[in-house]
Amino acid sequence: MSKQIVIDPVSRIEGHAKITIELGDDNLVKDAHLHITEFRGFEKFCEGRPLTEMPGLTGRICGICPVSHLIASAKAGDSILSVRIPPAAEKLRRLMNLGQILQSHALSFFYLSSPDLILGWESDPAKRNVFGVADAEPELARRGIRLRQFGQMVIEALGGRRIHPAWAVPGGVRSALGEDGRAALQERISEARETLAIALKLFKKMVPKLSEEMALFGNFPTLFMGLVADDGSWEHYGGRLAFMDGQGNVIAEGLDPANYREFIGEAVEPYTYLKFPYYKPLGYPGGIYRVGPLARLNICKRIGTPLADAELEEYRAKLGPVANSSLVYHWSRLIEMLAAVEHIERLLADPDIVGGRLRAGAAVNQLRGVGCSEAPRGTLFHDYEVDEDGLIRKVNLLIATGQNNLAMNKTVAQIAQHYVKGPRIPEGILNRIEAGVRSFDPCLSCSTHAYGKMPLLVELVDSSGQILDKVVRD
Amino acid sequence: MPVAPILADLELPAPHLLPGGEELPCLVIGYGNDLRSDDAAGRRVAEMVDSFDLAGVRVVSSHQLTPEMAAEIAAASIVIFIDAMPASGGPRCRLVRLQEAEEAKADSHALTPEILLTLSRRLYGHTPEAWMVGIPAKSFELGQELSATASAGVRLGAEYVRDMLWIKRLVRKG
Repeated sequence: MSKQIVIDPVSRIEGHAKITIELGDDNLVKDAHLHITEFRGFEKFCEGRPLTEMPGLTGRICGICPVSHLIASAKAGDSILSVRIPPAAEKLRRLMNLGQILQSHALSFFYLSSPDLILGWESDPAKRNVFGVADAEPELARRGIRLRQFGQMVIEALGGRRIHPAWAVPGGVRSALGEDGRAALQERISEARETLAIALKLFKKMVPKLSEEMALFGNFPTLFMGLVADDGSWEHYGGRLAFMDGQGNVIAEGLDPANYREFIGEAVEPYTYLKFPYYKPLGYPGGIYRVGPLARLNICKRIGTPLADAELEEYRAKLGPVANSSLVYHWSRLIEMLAAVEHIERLLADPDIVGGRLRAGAAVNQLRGVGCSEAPRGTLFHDYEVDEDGLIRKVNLLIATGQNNLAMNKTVAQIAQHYVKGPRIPEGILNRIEAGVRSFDPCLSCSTHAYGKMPLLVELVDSSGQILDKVVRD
Repeated sequence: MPVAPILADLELPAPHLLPGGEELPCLVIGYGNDLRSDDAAGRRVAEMVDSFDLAGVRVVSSHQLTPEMAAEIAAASIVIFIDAMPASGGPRCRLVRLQEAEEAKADSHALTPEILLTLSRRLYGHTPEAWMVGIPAKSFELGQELSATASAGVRLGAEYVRDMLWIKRLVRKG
């Protein structure tokens, strides 16, 4: 008789996820699933809206990732207008995207994941939160706050606000950076670099103690996908798509994101609202792939900035040319933050940032456009179809986190298979399962963006519905 | 709106001074989703307070509370949070004195003012006097318009905040 363990959040307003773990008759884990129980509906209610509204509308999908949607949406609009935006506009969009990567990664590392990494997976849950980190490592916590603040300053200096800036538009951007804004940002570069040096040193010291988790938290071969520059460098805004396997073999490269439907399929399952993207040539679910910092560092040849490249070299010397463990997302996030700071510094020195032509004007010239960029969590696609008047007819959004869905499910199963050996729910498993999912830094409308104490109810039930065991954290 | 009840509720500690003898600023943080009807009320109040151009007052209007605000809070002598609050009656604002939280809540996207106050003390050694001004709200549906109740509450709330800050300044002058 099979049994099921259910992990269901007790209460959340936005974005819930539920985990079920199925035991076989031998009380060993057969399978596990991550269920996303929230339905947002953006793809539907954007129909009929003008193309020009889409960056502002889709930015509302999230309060942490609005810039990512803003950029991808504006790029879809560029494609429909059939324009090549002015060089100054592209540099400004790149600058904002780098600010976004920096602030989002800083939130993920310093606030959401550092309690586990610094205080320990089995530490007192009452203290395993941002307050615990503030007590244990106050200087690091303060530096983490200022680092995230710096990323947000970049966004605000360009877009006028830190959250939901309505700034990138089809054809370009609304405004350049002012001289005062540039000076204020330049003053923060050196501190940001220092903070990342400290954080990287701290994390690398932890690596030997994380060997068990590295082996268990989403450690399996998958494909990796992301944007890459023409010269093989790390890319976050332009470039082409590449796929690499878990052994480091490039299996496809130079792919035009506009043709994503040729190589990315989307499966649906009845137990979750989140779709399952997969690499079409390998079918579903064999075409499982991961996106985000882990994937970007795997597929690029180099970052292209000195400090980040030095860190990448050390990372590869330790992990090999391809990192397969999802726990390594944390390390790759730190390196990407350093890359972002170095690229921000270069862009701030560019005269185009404070002047130049900012928009290319045109009317609707294509009835379909795809915008693709790298969000902090991975590759993001906005695919719009419009009518002759530029009103949206159809929208498909391929979200970064969704592309990690297969891998997140497999991660939950891997962790559960290691720790759940019978009908009782072992202590500490809740946090480890959460931590496994959290490595991906998923944006499930905030539901698993939990640090410290995610309210969870775990029930082990048999096929007749009888509860065999229960663990509650409220 | 009578000033006396506000005077009676306020404690007015000695102003915090920077090493150079300057005062720490007063901080006003209005927050909420401006596409959810009355949830925007906190931000509308903050924007109105900003338009008063009060000296020594920094105003923040934000979609949500974020951890980095702890640094700004620690540098302030008083912080006033402004948010929409469900209301069954007329356009009455609520004024609540805030205390630090005893433990962290789980969700970084649902930070409370109390958690920020605690973070401010734990990281920077200072928590200012803190208040919440609640603006009456009737509707949190999708939309950009404020209800009549919230609109009236916004004007009232902005005056509350201005009066609170004004009184603090007058005491300093005395």
